[in-house]
Amino acid sequence: MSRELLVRVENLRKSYVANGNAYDALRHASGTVLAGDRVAVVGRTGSGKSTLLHLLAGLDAPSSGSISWPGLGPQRDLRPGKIGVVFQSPSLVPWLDVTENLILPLLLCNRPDNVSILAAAALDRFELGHLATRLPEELSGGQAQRVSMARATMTGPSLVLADEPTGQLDLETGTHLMDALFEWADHTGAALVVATHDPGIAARFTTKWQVDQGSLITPTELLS
Amino acid sequence: MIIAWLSGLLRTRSGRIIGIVAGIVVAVALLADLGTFIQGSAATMTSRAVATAPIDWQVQVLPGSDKAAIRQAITDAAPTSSIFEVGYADVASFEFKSDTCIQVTGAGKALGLDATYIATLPSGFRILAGDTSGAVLLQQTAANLHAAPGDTVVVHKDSGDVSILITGIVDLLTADTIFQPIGVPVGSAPQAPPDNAVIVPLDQWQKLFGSVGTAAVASAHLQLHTVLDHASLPADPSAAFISVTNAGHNLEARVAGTALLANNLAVQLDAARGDAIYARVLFLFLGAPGIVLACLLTMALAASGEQRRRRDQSLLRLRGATASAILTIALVEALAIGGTGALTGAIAAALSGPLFGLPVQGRGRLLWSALAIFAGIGLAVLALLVPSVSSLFRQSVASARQTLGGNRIPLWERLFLDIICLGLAALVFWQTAASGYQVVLATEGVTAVSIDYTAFLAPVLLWIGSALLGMRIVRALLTYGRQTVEAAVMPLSGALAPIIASSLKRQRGRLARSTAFVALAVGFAVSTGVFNTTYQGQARVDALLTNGADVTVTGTRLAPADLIKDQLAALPGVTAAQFMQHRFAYVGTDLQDIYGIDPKTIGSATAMANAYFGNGNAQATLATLAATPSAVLVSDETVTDFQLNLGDPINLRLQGPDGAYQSVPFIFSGIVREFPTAPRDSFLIANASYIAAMTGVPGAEVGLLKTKGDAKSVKLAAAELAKAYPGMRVSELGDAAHIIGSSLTAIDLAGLTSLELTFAVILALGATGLMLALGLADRRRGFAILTAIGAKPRQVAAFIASETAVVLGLGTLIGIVVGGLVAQVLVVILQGVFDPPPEQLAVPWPYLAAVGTAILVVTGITLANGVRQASEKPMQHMRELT
Repeated sequence: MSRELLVRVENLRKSYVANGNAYDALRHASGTVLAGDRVAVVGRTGSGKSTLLHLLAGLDAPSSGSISWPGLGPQRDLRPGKIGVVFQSPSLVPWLDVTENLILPLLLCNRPDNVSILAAAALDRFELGHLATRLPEELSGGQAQRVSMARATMTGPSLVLADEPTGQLDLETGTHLMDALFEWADHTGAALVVATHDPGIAARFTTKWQVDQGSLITPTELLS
Repeated sequence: MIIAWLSGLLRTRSGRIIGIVAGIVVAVALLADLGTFIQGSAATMTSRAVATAPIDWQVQVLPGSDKAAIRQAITDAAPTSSIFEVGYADVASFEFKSDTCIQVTGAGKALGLDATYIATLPSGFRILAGDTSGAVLLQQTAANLHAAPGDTVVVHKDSGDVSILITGIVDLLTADTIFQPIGVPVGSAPQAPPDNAVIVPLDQWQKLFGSVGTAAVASAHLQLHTVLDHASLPADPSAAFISVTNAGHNLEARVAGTALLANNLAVQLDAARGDAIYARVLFLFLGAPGIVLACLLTMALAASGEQRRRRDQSLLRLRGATASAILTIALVEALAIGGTGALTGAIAAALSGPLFGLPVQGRGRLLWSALAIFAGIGLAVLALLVPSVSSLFRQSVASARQTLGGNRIPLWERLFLDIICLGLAALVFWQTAASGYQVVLATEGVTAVSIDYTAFLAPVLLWIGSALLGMRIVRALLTYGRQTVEAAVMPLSGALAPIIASSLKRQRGRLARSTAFVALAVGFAVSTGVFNTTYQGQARVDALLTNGADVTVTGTRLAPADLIKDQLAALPGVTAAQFMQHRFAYVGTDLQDIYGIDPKTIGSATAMANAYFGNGNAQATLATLAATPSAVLVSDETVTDFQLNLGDPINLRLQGPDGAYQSVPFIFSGIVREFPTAPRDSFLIANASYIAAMTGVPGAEVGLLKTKGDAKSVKLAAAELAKAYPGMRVSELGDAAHIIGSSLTAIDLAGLTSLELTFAVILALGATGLMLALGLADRRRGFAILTAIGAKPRQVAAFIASETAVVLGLGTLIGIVVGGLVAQVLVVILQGVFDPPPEQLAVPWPYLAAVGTAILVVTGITLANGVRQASEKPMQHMRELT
């Protein structure tokens, strides 16, 4: 049975200008993400992993090339309903507690029914029950990252993009977090694209995309 | 490192720095402009007082004294610009024999004036007919004698009769002063000027009455009228009063036993110094809240960057910067920002000065600009350095991470400081209102001036208490009224309402502070606007009181205004015309002005304020007058002096058709305190029809015209009609405002008003726009996160608009209430400014509507900009603001 094509990128390039000089953060990037895919994006710091994830999430526009989301619909409706995003930096809304941060994506999608039940389930899934009423400023970096992960799954998205989700966690906690994420993805059939430095985490993914100095090398290219 | 730090600040915190600089600019400009105004207005009051003094000093040479020595003493005591010898002599009567009859007056005076006197002091004389080259008769005397220029009048005096040729007729405008008794105790009842007098050249006077310079002449004496050198007077009325009073004392010591002094200039300055102090009090009551608000706003703007400052300092410490290095950086930052803001503010104040009638340069401007610059730099140090010191020595790691903070119940709230302040304000206000005291007490003739500073407590406590109560209300509403808040923001936020209500609750500390700022700024605009409008209204009432009506036609006994009443009433632009008698009546030996009116219709042409009457009810008093033909209203002073009770019969002596005084019975029916055209001291009000019937003189000397549109054109038309009648004068409201020199309401405070109103708008816009913008800037990362996880611009706008609605809605509501209360308190406390006191507050609806619109426009722009910034490049904001 053929899987649904969620994202297609073709010859993407993303340039930035810094100190009057233009440089490519990402170039010649092509690839696809299908429903249920497990993609690890690996590469050195500053290689362009985050840029790629932001482009896949529709958060940024490419300088050239094309990107489309055939299985997810128009770009304006991607987040938070179709794509859940976990950012590398702290990304919880500071003036909402953990539970409110979790239900926020549902309300942004205008899905106010059963939000408490869904939030409770997510808290349980990611072992965050004891933090339910804490404010972001009362959480450690790792705890905040777990809440971000849980929030990314709240709307039942078809694709979760996570940028270094275990970067601030110890090995055991990181493993638990990824277990929970995989379990949730297996259950829902969602695709996962996760940028990571951790070879152990990367090894759990069926597909690896290597980003090196702005160039994306997909499995096909790796084989060739 | 310092330069690198400052340039980094400019690059990355330019918005916040501009905000702080703007706050300092406003505070400095307001202080510099207000200070310059106060200094300038004091100088204006002095020059006006000087201009209104008819003769600075009248020095009466006592019989047998050496006038040359006294003249020398005068020049030694004070710098003078001219000294005139003036002869005074009593005459038994004046007589004029015409072709048909002989007219003889009662006793009178003969005044001998130096030839240059009238040319030097022209404002005291109004030439009605002929010229002043020879003997001139006073208007009343000419009327009594039926004499005209070219006629010969016989002067009956002790040493024999003499005939003098009359060359002119004048109205002696300063008769009260010129004929005042000199050397009587302070507080003695004023003496009316003589009804009959002739002015003759001094050499002719000396021939008639002999030289009185060195020899005693029982019925004649000499005065030296002195004009002081006004250029040497201090600009401040109080200082000028002390200077002139002390110079007078010096002269009195020099001429003791040989001459007596009437220090008229000191009397005029005495009145002005009270007004000058009132101007300073106004500055404190009206201007100080604006300056304090600008300072608080600046400090709030600085405080809004506190989190980032804490993080910056933590970074510096991590990289090895010592505490002293961090403090040096903070001090340089404060001085750079403060210096820039203070200098810009002083320059802005000077350049905008002409808009408010203020000078661009000058000593006052320089002094107050320097003061304001120092204050501005001090403010920057207070706003920027003190928090740095505080966070450097007291900050913990946990507190450095706090982004919400301030949600604990503050100490003042637990101590109910707001309620206590409001309670005390009410108590002080009640005491003030009940006792009816004056804030400024400048006792006549006493150099010391007392200001009751406790009066300041009521508005100060009201401001503080209201701001704190506003914060308490906002905190309580957001904490305990979640359902109400949710319902209120639902139209703006839809499904997001519950989470936005939670968000507002978490930010209640910050929102309460922002609301308090908006409330204070709106309150300042409302109180300033209402007070100033009420003040302007009262200034018009004051002018109306002085002039009588929009246009007033003042006739004489021989040519009363009602001679042309039909023509006056028919003039284009005249909507109502009323005519009243203005005569003189003796109450015992006291000569007072008496006004005969038609109580039923007088109000159609001029305002009949409740404050004019002792019972505070104009309608009832006039009804009483109308119901009792012989009723008379008298002044408080007369009631006291003659121990009158309501209903007491009182006999007044009024002039009959032949000019002789005859007794007319009246009934004391009420107290009158002020009345259009009436003098400030004692006067009487009665029914015109009764006076006419009892005296046999029916004319009404004064015509009061109410106009629609341009009073000046009505004045010109009326003057055209009046010119056929000698002595008939026409004046309009605008003239009166320039004439009243000693009353504060008459002093041109338009500059202060426009200054305050302009700064009120700036502060209102600053408090709403800047606070909102910086509030949004502080939370830009949060809004970027919202966008990054998928919030649409309208959903981000729902968050921002909801809190804006809370801050602006509650702030405006509280501000309007506070502003109204403060204006009411100010009007009651500053009763001395108003003459008469206002019956109700005047609300400047167009101004308030303009302020409201400006606030809405600025808020809308800020909001749209905030949403745009949050919705564009969210990842960039998240990276930059981490």
